[in-house]
Amino acid sequence: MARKNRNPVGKNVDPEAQKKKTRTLTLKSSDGQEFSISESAAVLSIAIENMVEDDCAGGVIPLPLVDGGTLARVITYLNKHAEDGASDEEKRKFDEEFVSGMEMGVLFDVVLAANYLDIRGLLREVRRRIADRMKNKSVEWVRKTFHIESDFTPEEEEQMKKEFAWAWEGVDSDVDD
Amino acid sequence: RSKGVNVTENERNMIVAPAQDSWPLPNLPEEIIMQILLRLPVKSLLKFRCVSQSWRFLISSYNFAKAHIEVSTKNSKYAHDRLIFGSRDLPVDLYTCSLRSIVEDVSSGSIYPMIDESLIVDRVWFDCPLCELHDVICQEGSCNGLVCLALSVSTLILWNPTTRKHRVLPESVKDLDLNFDYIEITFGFGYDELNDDYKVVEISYLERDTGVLETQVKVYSLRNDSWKTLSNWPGGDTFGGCGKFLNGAIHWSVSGFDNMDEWAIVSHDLATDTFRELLLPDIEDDDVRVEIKLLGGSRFDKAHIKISTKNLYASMTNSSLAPKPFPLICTLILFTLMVGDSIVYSLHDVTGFIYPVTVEN
Repeated sequence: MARKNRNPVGKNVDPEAQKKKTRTLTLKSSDGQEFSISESAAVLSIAIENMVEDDCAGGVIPLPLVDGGTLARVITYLNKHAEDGASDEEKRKFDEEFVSGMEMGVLFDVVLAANYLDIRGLLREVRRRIADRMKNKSVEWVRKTFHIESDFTPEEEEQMKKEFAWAWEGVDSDVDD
Repeated sequence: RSKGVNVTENERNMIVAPAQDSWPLPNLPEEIIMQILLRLPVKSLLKFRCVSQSWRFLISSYNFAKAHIEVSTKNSKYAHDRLIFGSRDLPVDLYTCSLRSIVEDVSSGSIYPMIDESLIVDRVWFDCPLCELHDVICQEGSCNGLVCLALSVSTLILWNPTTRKHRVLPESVKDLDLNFDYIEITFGFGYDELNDDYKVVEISYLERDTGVLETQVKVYSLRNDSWKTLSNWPGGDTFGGCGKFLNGAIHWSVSGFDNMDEWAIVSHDLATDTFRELLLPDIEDDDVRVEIKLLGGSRFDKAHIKISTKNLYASMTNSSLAPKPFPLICTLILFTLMVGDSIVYSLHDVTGFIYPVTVEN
C-alpha cells in the first residue's frame, strides 16, 4: 500500500515545506511558559495553522486555554508526527504509548487541548483511549468523573438496570487505572 | 507542574508531568462527551443510560444509534464484524464469533480462512419464547447489525443481537382467497437509506387452482410496521435461497416459470420498489449454475476492494480475460456462475458494469 507522507523526503522537496521546517514559532501556555516548535510541526494543529496564515502570530502565539504541562505533551505529539521519515507504523506505535500512561485527568486535559487546537489525529486517539478506560467502569464512577448528578429516582434506576441486567456484568472497580 | 526554567528547549518539550491525583477532572463540553460515547461498546452504553436523564436521552436517541453504527463500521477492517451461526442439533442454539478470528492477517490485505481449536465462539443470547415453539431458525439476511430470522413462513423476527432485543413482525396478509397453494416463500432483508427504513421482502411463488403460476411480492416497512403488496414484479420464480442485500437493493436469482434454463439476476431497489434485470457476462456454455454471493460486506471501502482484487487476481492463473482495474471506491456484487467445471465470477459495480473474472477450478 502506498504511503502518503505529509513531509515527503526526496529530491523534489517543496521549498515552502522546507521553509516551514526551519522556521520556528513560539507557543505560550496559559501559565506563561514558552515553547519553541518548528512551523511544520505546529501547523498540524489546524487552529495554529489558521493563526499563522492570518499572520496574527506576531512571533509568539498565546494559547490561553492550554496549561504548560498539557502543551508540552501536545508538542511532543506534534514533533513526532512532523518528523521526517517516521513511518505510519512508527507513528501508530508512538500514539499508542503516548496515551497509554496518561491518567484520566491528563487525558481530559489533552482532549480539551486537542479539541481547541484542532489536532484531529490526537483528538481521535485520546477520545478512543478515554472510551476504552471507561467502558467497564460503574455508573457511579462515570458520574464522578464527568461531574454529573443523578436525576433518577432509585426506583427508576433499578427499573432501567433490570431491563439490561447483563450489561452490568463485569464492572471494574472504581479505582482509576 | 514543572516550570522548566533551566531546561533546554528539547528537554522541556519532553517533559511529562509527574502522575498526579487530578480530581476533580475538568468539565468536558457536550460535543466531546458525545464523541467519546460514540466510541463505547453497546454494552457500556446500555449501562451508562443510568448516568442521568440527559445521557439516557442522548444514548437512546435514534440519531445517536445511527452515528454509532457509522463510527463502528468506518475505518475498521472487520473489527466489529461477527458471524452468527446455529448449532447442528436441536434445539437450535445460536453462536457467534468475530470475523477477525477466522481470517488471517487482515492488515496485510489477504484473507485466508483460519479455523482451528483456538477459535473463540460465544453463545448468543436470544430470549424469544416463540423460538421454543419452532425447530428451525432461518437467517434471512442481516444489515447494520440487525438480523432477520424466520421461524416459519409466517413468523418473522427482527433481532438485534447486540442489545438482545427483538421484535416479532406482523404477519403479512396472506390472500384470503384460498384458491391457490403456496409452493415456496423466500425472504430478503435490507436497509432503505433514502427513507431511513428497514425492509423485509417476501416473495411467494404460488399456484392458482386454475393451474396458473404466479409470484407475489410483499414488502414490510419497519417505519410503518406494515406490509404492502407490489404488482410490478417482472415475472419468474426465485431460486437459490434468500435475497442478497447490497447497495440499497435486494438481489434475486430468478428463473422462468416454464424454462429453468432461462435465468436472470433481478435487483429490487428498496427505496423506489423498482425492479431491474442485471446484465450478465456472455456465457456460451449451457451448463450454468448461478448463485448470488456477496463479496465482503454490504459496503465496500478502498481496503475491501484491494483485498478482493488481490485475492481474485492471485488465483487467476489461467485467465483469458485481462484484469481491468477497479474504480477505487465502488460497490461490487459478486455472482458466481458454475460453467462446466469452472467457476465464473462476475463482478458488477453500481452502474451495472461487469468485470468478468475467470478463475480456474
